[in-house]
Amino acid sequence: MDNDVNMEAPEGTIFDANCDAIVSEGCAGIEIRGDTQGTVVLNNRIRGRARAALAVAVLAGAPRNNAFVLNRLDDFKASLADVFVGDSVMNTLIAGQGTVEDHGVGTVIVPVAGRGESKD
Amino acid sequence: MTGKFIWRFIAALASVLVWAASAAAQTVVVGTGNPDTDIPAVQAAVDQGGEVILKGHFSFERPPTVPTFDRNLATVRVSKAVAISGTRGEDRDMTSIEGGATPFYVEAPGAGVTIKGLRFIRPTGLAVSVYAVSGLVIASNKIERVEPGSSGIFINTSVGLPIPDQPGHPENISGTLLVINNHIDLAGGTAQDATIGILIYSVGVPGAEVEAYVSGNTIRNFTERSISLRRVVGRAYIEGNVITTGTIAGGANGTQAIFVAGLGPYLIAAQLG
Repeated sequence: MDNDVNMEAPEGTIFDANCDAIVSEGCAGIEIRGDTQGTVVLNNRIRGRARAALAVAVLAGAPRNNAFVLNRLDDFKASLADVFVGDSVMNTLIAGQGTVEDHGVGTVIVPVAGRGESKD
Repeated sequence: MTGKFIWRFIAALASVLVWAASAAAQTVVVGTGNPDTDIPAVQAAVDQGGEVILKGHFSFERPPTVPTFDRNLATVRVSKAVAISGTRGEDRDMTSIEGGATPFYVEAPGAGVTIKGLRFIRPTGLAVSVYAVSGLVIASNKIERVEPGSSGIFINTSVGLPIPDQPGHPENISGTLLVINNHIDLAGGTAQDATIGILIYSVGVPGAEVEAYVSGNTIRNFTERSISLRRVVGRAYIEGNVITTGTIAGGANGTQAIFVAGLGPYLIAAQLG
C-alpha cells in the first residue's frame, strides 16, 4: 500500500509567507534533507497544494544519491514546482510526472507520462 | 504491499514479539475514571512488567509527576519490558485513557515495550514519548481531541534538534521499531504550534542499528509534519500511511507531510523490490 498524502492548504494560500523559501525550509509533501543517502521515494500519491510535492535540499549536510520514482501527482498544484532539487544536492534521480526545478548537481530526470498524457 | 515487503515486515514483527511470548506475568487493570486510582494502578502494573491488559475507561487527569529526559513531566513511566494492551472494539468499546500530560513515557534501556489498542483522548504534550528501548511496538492506537499544540508519538533521544556533533543518546534505542496502524488526529493546533504526528529522532548507533517501520498510520490535522525522521542509524520504511494536513501551517519550518533528514537510508513507499 502506498503513502497517500493530501496537502489541504486552502486555495489562495501564499506559501512564500508561510514557508519562507523552500531552499531554507519549505512546504512540501515529502522532503529529504541533510546528509541523507540512498533514500527512495516511490509510488506515493500526493494531492492538494504546496510549494512542491517532492523536495530535496541541504540542511547541515547535502543529500546524495536519492531517488523520486513514479510518484503520482495528478491532483497536486505546486506554487513552485512539482519536484524541487536544491543547491549542492548530488545525484538525484527523478523518474515520473511533473515539473522540476533543479539546482542540484548530477540530477537525472526521466520523464514518464501520467495517465492521459501524451508522450509526444 | 509486495510479497517481499510483507515477509520482511513479518520477520521484523516476529523478532520484536519474541520477548513478549516469554513474558509470564499478566496483569489486568480495570479503569475507574478516577485519576487518583487509575494512575497508581497503571503505574504499579507497568512496574511489574510482563503483560498488562487495560480495560474500560481510565482518567489521567492529574498533574504529571514523572520527569522526562527533556525536563518535561509525564504521567506513567515505563521502565522495564512490558506489553500494554487495550481491549479491541469501536471507539465506545475500546480501552480509553482520558487526559494526562504524556500518558506514557518509556525509558526502558535494553527492554522491549509494546503499547497497543489504546484510545488516547485529550492528551497534553504527547501521547507517547520513548527515550530508551530495545524493540518497540506502538500499534493500533487512537490519539484524538488532543489539547491544542500537542503532538502524537515521539521516539527521541535528543534535547533539541539532533546534529552530528550533538546527537543526544542514540545508543538508547535499538532493534526493530514498529509504529503501525495508529490513528492520530491533531486538530486544534494553531499557527503558533508545530505539531507532529510521529517523530523518530536520533536512534541507533553502528553495531546497534534500528529497523523502523512507520506503516499503515492515518494522520490528520498536523500543523508542521505528519512523519518526521532525523538521524536514524539503520533503515526506515515509511509505507502505506494516509496523511492529511490541516488548513493551518504552524511552526517556523513550514509544513511537510513526510520529512526525513540525515543518515538512513529511508524507503518512503511500499513497492520496492
